[in-house]
Amino acid sequence: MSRESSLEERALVVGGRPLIPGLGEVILEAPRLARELRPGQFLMARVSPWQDPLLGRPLGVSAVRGSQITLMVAALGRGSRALLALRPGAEVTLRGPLGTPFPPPAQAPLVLAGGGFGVAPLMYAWDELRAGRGEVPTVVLGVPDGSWAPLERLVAHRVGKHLRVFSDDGSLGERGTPCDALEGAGEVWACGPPAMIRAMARCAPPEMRLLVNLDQRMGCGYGGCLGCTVPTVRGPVRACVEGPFFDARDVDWGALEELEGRS
Amino acid sequence: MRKRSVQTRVGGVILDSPLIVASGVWPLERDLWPREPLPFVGAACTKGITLEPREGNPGVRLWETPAGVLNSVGLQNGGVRSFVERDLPEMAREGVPLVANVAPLTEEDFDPLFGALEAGAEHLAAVELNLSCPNVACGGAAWGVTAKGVSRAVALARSRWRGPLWVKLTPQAADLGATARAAEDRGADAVVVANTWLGMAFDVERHRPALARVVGGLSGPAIFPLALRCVWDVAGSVSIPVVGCGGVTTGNDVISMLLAGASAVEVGTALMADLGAAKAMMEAVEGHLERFGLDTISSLVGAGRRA
Ligand SMILES: Cc1cc2nc3c(=O)[nH]c(=O)nc-3n(C[C@H](O)[C@H](O)[C@H](O)COP(=O)(O)OP(=O)(O)OC[C@H]3O[C@@H](n4cnc5c(N)ncnc54)[C@H](O)[C@@H]3O)c2cc1C
Ligand SMILES: Cc1cc2nc3c(=O)[nH]c(=O)nc-3n(C[C@H](O)[C@H](O)[C@H](O)COP(=O)(O)O)c2cc1C
Ligand code: FES
Repeated sequence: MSRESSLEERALVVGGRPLIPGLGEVILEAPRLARELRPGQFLMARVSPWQDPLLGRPLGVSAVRGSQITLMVAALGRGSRALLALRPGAEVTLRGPLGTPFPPPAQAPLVLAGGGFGVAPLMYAWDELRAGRGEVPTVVLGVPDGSWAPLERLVAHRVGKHLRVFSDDGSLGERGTPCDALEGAGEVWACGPPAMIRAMARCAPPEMRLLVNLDQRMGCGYGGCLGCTVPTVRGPVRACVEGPFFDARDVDWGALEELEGRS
Repeated sequence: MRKRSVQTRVGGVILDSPLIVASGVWPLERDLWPREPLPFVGAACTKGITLEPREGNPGVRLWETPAGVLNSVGLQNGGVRSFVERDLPEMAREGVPLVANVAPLTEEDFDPLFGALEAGAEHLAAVELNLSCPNVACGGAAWGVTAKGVSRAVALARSRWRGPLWVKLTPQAADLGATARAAEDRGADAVVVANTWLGMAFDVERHRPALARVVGGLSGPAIFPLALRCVWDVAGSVSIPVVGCGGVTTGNDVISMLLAGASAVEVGTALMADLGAAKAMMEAVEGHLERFGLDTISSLVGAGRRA
């Protein structure tokens, strides 16, 4: 067996907009990726034709519309800022689809829990699940406070009544965190910052299937460099091939905590 | 591709292109291989293979630096037996000549490591002996840092492997020319110059070294001038072919390596960053041959050394 098609292509920026300070959307004309990328998979984007920054940046896809894909990008460092600064007409090199798609849901009801911009890939998953025959899942959005209202409006616009919002201080939606939405769920797909993911893994009952994102720094994205491994009960496993979403029961949480430098 | 003009010869192996995929950036599973570089490379080196399976290093393994990457992967691999039985036959079906990058960690490793490789010899164009890996008995210092260590390792490998043997030197050696000569004296068919340079970075958000092992290997465009100088030095000290490796990213880098005396180049980080790099490099090399009215790249090899 071998890959059929190419993995990299030039894509044209066709639009985008800021959402809140430090977070924005970028829309790209990328016909091949729009066709091939399944929910749960990701891509790597490389903005600079120069050698610095050198590596592509891993990003999820929040929407696919025809031949266009939407990225939701948080401005963290040079790569993400460069991506957000692009104007329509600019070109980006995209590598993908990368990673393993979400499996079919196994246990109803399904909840998609996003922490901040971690909701992005879950919105694309929600679109596809709604288009399918199964039950429409609930989307849970957890944010720090009311300053995230523009993101809440964006998600609400997409998923309507299927949205539940939690904020740490109660200034948007209910007071609480996505953990508070675990009750009654049969299966949860969670995507967010490490602290949220760890909290979800702690409060999920053992019989629940909880899929979590474990984001790592990535070099190649295609399984070659072994730079992105996460500790699992089966030993180190690549986030870019076997992930980026993992069954929380397979993760070696102690080793992961050390990796994230919080021990 | 597959033009006579870009063919080259490295220690008993004829390559259809002077570009070789460097060890460590290409999956062992063929079904994961990106297609883009394949028509433009003359061979591919496997990830570092050890005798026993290894889990590799804990913690952050990659850290981007200006025009470079620090890595601390720690030779994660499934061991030589699983490589020979499971991965190699499938990889060989692609038709790209394969070079097994092997990393013996003790003197006792050589016998069983090369013994197991023997079973896959029909699929291997060459073996590349990685001398940047630690020799556990020497307190973990790399085999390649002294001429004595290189002599010992190459002698052990040579007595167990009859096929083409490439020796990948480490730039951490105090006298790289001496280690290259030691490899030649002990029967290496080619030397690969070089590997990553040790470096480090801090994660200033944590006030800790970015990598758990503190130091890692620096690769990418940032090290190209350093690697080029090593190739220049070594090509003047040995008469076996030299493969340039370190930061090769553009067509001009390939040509520079050839002019300095390399017969071929290995490319790692540039492919990891940009799968189109191999095509772009070869188009630039062919354009260069045309502009200078040269029939083959062999007329470039060492051409920059003549007075
Ligand atoms: C599978 C996957 C999907 C992702 N999806 C998205 C997405 O949809 N939207 C989005 O905004 N971001 C996403 N990310 C995170 C994104 O890749 C990083 O924010 C980005 O690489 C940072 O690059 P930079 O050049 O802006 O920052 P840098 O200058 O490289 O670093 C800035 C800060 O970010 C930290 N950082 C860098 N890379 C990572 C990483 N991979 N994981 C954790 N911390 C990191 C650094 O330690 C530093 O503190 C995803 C990551 C992965 C692995
Ligand atoms: C992620 C990564 C893993 C590597 N693993 C190996 C290895 O297993 N064995 C080896 O000899 N070299 C290994 N290398 C070194 C490369 O093969 C190459 O010598 C080095 O990166 C310099 O070339 P470059 O700048 O083109 O990458 C690795 C490099 C990287 C970036
Ligand atoms: S990023 Fe290279 S193996 Fe995952």
